[in-house]
Formats: sequence, structure tokens, C-alpha cells
Amino acid sequence: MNEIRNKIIELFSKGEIDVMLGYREDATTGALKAAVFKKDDTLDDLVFDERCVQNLVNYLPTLTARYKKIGIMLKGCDGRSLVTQLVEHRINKNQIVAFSIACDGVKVGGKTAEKCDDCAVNISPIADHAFGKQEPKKVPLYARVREIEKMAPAERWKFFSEYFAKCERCYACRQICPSCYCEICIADQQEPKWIEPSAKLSANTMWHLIRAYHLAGRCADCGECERVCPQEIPMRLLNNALEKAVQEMFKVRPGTVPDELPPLVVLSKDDPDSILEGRNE
Amino acid sequence: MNKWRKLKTGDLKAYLSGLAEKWELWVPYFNDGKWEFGPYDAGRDIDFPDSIINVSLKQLFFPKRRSIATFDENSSWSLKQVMPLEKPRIIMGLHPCDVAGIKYMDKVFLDSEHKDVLYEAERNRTILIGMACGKMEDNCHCTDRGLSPDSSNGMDVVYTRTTGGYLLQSMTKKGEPLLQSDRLKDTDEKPVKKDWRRGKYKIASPEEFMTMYDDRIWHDLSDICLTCGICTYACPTCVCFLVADEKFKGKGERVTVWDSCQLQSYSRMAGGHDTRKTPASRVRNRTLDKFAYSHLRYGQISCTGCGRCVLVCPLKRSFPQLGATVTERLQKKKEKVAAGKEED
Amino acid sequence: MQIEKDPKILAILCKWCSYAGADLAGTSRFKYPANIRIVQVPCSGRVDPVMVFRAFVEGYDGVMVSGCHPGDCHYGTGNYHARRRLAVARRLLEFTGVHPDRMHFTWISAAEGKKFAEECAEFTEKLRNLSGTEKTLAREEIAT
Repeated sequence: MNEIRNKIIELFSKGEIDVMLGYREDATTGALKAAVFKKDDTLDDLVFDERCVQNLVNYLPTLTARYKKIGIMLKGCDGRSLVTQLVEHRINKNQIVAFSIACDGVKVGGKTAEKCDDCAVNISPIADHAFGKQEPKKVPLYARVREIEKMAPAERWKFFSEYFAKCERCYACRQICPSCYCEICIADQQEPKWIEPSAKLSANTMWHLIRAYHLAGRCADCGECERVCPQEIPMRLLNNALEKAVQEMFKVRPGTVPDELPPLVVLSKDDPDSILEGRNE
Repeated sequence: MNKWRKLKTGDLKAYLSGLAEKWELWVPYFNDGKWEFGPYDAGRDIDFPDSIINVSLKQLFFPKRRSIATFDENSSWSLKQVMPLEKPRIIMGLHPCDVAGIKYMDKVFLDSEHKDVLYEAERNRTILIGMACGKMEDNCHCTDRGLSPDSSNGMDVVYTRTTGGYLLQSMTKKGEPLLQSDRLKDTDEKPVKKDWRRGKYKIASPEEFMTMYDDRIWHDLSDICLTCGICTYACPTCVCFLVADEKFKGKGERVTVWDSCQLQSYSRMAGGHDTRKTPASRVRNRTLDKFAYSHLRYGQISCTGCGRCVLVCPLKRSFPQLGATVTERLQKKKEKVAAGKEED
Repeated sequence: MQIEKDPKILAILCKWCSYAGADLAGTSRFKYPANIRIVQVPCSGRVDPVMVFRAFVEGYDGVMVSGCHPGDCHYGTGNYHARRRLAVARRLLEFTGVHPDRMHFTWISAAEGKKFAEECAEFTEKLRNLSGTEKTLAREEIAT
């Protein structure tokens, strides 16, 4: 930890960063919150441990507008997220100094987060400075998705419709996702009104399908959407199912290769027609 | 003051079953690690949370989606108002902050020329059995908002845990019939008065808050707020809603659905004009509404000190802390002025 | 709600190839099932999967999308985009419990009137086999 603090102090003194985006331990509650550290702020309460759940990439677009150079602490999933934001030109790489910090999994409510069980990328693919043992993990992926794929269509619908019915349409999942940044979200469009605003099953289903589809090939699987849902809807299942589909069909895993374009943006003349027929393993 | 009556723990189910025969009875259940409210089911275990639960109880009077009228364009055009429900019901297990929230909603939906008849019907048919809290959770600060964890204000019946069972007292005429059961015995026992913690969040007066409108503090406070709106969904006094028509093949419903001033499209108008485009303006709006505007309109600030906003915030921020931070800055400004220094 | 015995199909056809093919089927008097509503788009690349989702929510039993053959798109490359988008959309819908037979994606050229009729007949038959099963995604009934 001190290694990280010293590096930050060094960068501040050389003028290589204007602010540092990291995590601060709240003195009264002990909770860990995202925080912006300025040059003369104390770094004693700058922390990085298994409580650092939040994806800091979310704050970069607003901060890059206010400061010239920003240092950011990145777990593996956060690093993937940064790669997707860079390739979509939302942020300029020359405004970012990336700290890749080895992550062994984060805890939510005292338990290891589910997203860490099948972590696809535990080391940030992008780093200017690296800390900790940078060892990539090999984990069997998409276990939860495969469970659902074993079910018959009617069973799957029963599983999902029970969750979709609970949705309150608070859009916390949208607000916290770094990749959801449309100025006018499709859910707010009136003409045509693609998604009805009321929280009934059919409208909620439309919302979740569109959200998953718009993130296909772009979602970095930071897992924040599922963490913030007040109804505990397992929406990462949808994102992971499409990540698996995109991996199978187009051999791309979003956010893992810097500068690689999202598969639904590029066109390919060579896709086989068989991809239109559904699941092919 | 009515006398207290005692209900032994062993008689709880029998008492509730007796109530359920005459009324639609809603009680709390602990299910899968979470508390939720549901219709009374004698087959399930009953328990009561000693303090706040993060389920938004305003749903019981102000549901997330409510149909207010149906229409049919086929054959001859008809528009039917959805009729208010009349079946008497009891909701048991609400805490003082929940009831304070309901009383604030009454000011919004009942005390005006645009009385909401569906809300009124829900209130009229409901008897509130409120529970005095046994403890204050970390985020609780109702004592700073002029309430108390053992307050019975607004309840028809109040009950509290005691050794061997519960003590109940009726507070209104509506509540009296509920205590007729022969499972309850008169008692001289009284609930023990507790000393509750206070002073968690120091909040300035509504008038002083209004002076902070143009301050630049709102930009700093909204730096790490995603304006997702979860705080407004969990808050017992946030009651913004929008009205939408949902139509299909000539048949339709007019519905009211929850809305939130925190959402990015809340104040967007036709033509693209938006009065609260920036997160800073939306955070300012909610803070001022809770601590100042509500006082201007209804004579009381709408924050009940329940702390649900803190519980549900995905970024683990504290909304009441925003109010306290603004108050601190207000204090500093006053000191500067008093010392003859320039305001910054 | 259930998939009906006379299944209702929404067919989104590209103007230059598939819609012309459908036209040809009509003028050549090839028979195909009547419960098909056709929506014309300039190119299959215009088809946003949100239209497919919405069609299911509005109560269609099946959705068909057809465009020019890959390599023959009137606008050059629109159908390559469509191919990727619809492939992803299908995977998503299947994953959430929409039966795979309820979606039908084809390439039909302006000269293939017979093919259009055949594809419609085949699709309708697949949906008939599903009649009586739950129509997932469909909107709720409005009680008036």
C-alpha cells in the first residue's frame, strides 16, 4: 500500500497527475468510498483492499473535463472497463495514468462477490504502473450462463420473468454502468415510445433485453449493475450470456485487447450464415 | 391515556388469526435474509423487526404502478375510473419513521384541492398498528428530525416488546376494536423509557438552507453522485410520480408510476429544454426539497431521519450527510461574515 | 397468453430484395399463409433488434426478418451489420426463454418469389407446432 502512496506522491510532485482517483476509508463508518485525492490531501486514508468494490472508471468523463491528468486505481475488471471507454473515444488515454493493482477478489456484505468466482480478467489490460503480484487467473467461465442454457425455454422464462416482475425501473443499473452514456436513453424516448415507463412485467422485460443488447460486445463485466440493483435482479446473467455469444461468434472478449473495436461496430463479410441459427458450441 | 394491554408471546398467532378473520391483515416476514411485508399467513413464522427495514412501505398507499382509469375505444368510447378499494385492512409492524412518512404523504395527497381519492380510500380503510423500535440502527437519526423511536404519533395502535410478550395501547377510536380480543389482558406494566442517541446530523433551518441555493458547494457534492434515484425510491416521503397512458388495440389504462427528480430526463421538456441538466442541480433540488421546500409548502421538513437513503445508496454515500455538509459550510460563511472577512 | 393456432407473424423485409420478392410471390400467385403482416425497411441493416423485441411484446407469435443475400446488399454492406445484430438478438431472446422457432431470419432476393412463399409456409408450420404453449414476452391483458 505504501508503494502505491509513494508513487502517487512522486507523480504529484512531478506534475504528472493533477488528481488521483482512488478509495477512501470513511473515518466514522469504516465504509470505503470512491474519492478524489488532490495534491495536498493526506494519503493516509487512501486504501486498496477487498472492500474496493466500486468501478472508478465511471467518474472519469466528468473528471477529465475538469482536470488535465488523472491517476486512477484499477482492478482487473475496472481496467477492462477503461479499455472499452478508451476505444469508444469517451476518454483520451493521454489524460489518464493507470495504476493496475493486483486484485484477489472483492467482498460485498462480507462475502466474496459472485463476479469474482468466474473472473475473466483479474489484471487490468492497461497499466502505466503495476502493483502487487500480476498473475492472471485461469477460471472456468460462464458457469451460471451454462446452467440456464441447460433449461428448456419455458423454464428459462419462468426464471427470468420472476425477476423482471420485481424490477422497479429505478435505472440504477444504467446510471452506474460506464458504458451507458446516451444523452437520451432509449427508455426516455417518447417518439416512438419503445419502452413503457410503468413497472409491469412486459415493460421491464423490454428494458432488460434492450439494456443487455445495447451492451453486447461492449460490457466489461465490472458487475456494478447487479451490485446496485435494489431488487437483486441477476442481470449479469444476460450480459454474460451475450459475452459468451460474442466470444463464440466473433472471437472477441470486450475490454481485453486495447484498441480492439467492439464486434457490433465492425462489419465482416466473412461471418458464416450459421450464426443466425442460434447457439452453436 | 388508554391503559396498556399485554399479549403473551405464545398468544401472538391466535391474536393475529383473530384479527385476520375480520380484516385484511399485513405483517412483516423475514424471508431469504430480507424483511418484506405480506398478507397474514398462519402457516408462516411471524416476527417483528426491532428497527428499520429497507422495504419502502409507501408502496402500501402509493404503489409503484397504479391504474387510475381504463378506457376502451372499440365499439363506443368508454372511460372508467378505477374504483377505490374499501375492504378494511390492518398493517402491523410499521415503525415511527414509516408512520411519519405516511403522515407527510397525507399532506401531499389529502390536504389539497386535488385530493387523491384512491390514496384517500387506502388511508380510510387502513388501521395502522405501529411498533416502537427496540434499537436505533447505524443510519437511524429520527431523533434529529423531531421524532423518537418509541413515538406513537399517527398510529392507531402502538405496541412494543416486553418480557414475555408485547404491550399494546390504542391511540385512536379506529384502533380500539383491535384491543378487544380476550387474548389481551389489562396490565399496569408500562414500556421502559429509553434514552435515545441524537445529534448525528446537524441540519440548518429551512430559511438558512434557502440561502445556499447559489453556493458552489453543490458541484463538489454531486461529484460522486450518479443520480440513479435509488434514494428517492427508498425514501418514505419521496412521492413524485408521472401519469402515462398505456394502450393496445384500442384498450388502455391510465397509470401513475413512480418518478424521480434525480433521473436525467425528469425535467426535460418538448424542444429539448431542460431546467436541471446537471447532476449538481438535481442533487441541490433533492437536498433543498427535503430540508427547505417541504417546510415552505407543508409546514414540516419531509426528512424523517429513517436513514434508508444511506442503506440503499450504491456508492455508500449519505444523503443526510449532504445536508450536514451544507450546514457546516453555512456555519463557516456566517463566521467569516461575523469576523468581517470576505465571503468566498 | 398462448401461441395461437393461426399464428400471427411480423415480417420485416428490406425494400430492394425481400419486399420485391414478396411482391413477386403475390403477382405470381404463389400461395402463402395470410396471417403475415409485412413492414418494409430500406435495408435489413436498418432493423434494430428493439423492433424485434417490441414485436414480441405487442403479441406477435413470430418475427421474420429478411434482406438481400450477403454480397448483394443494395447499399453495399447493410446486411453484414444485420447479420451480426440479429445473431446477437437471437441469442439474447433464446437465452431468456423465447422459443428458437419463433424467430426466422433469411435472405430472399427480388427474383425469389417462390422462396418467399416457402419460407413463410415453413415458418407458419413451425409456429403451429408451438400453438398452445406460453407466448413469452407478450404484454399483459388490459381489463376494462
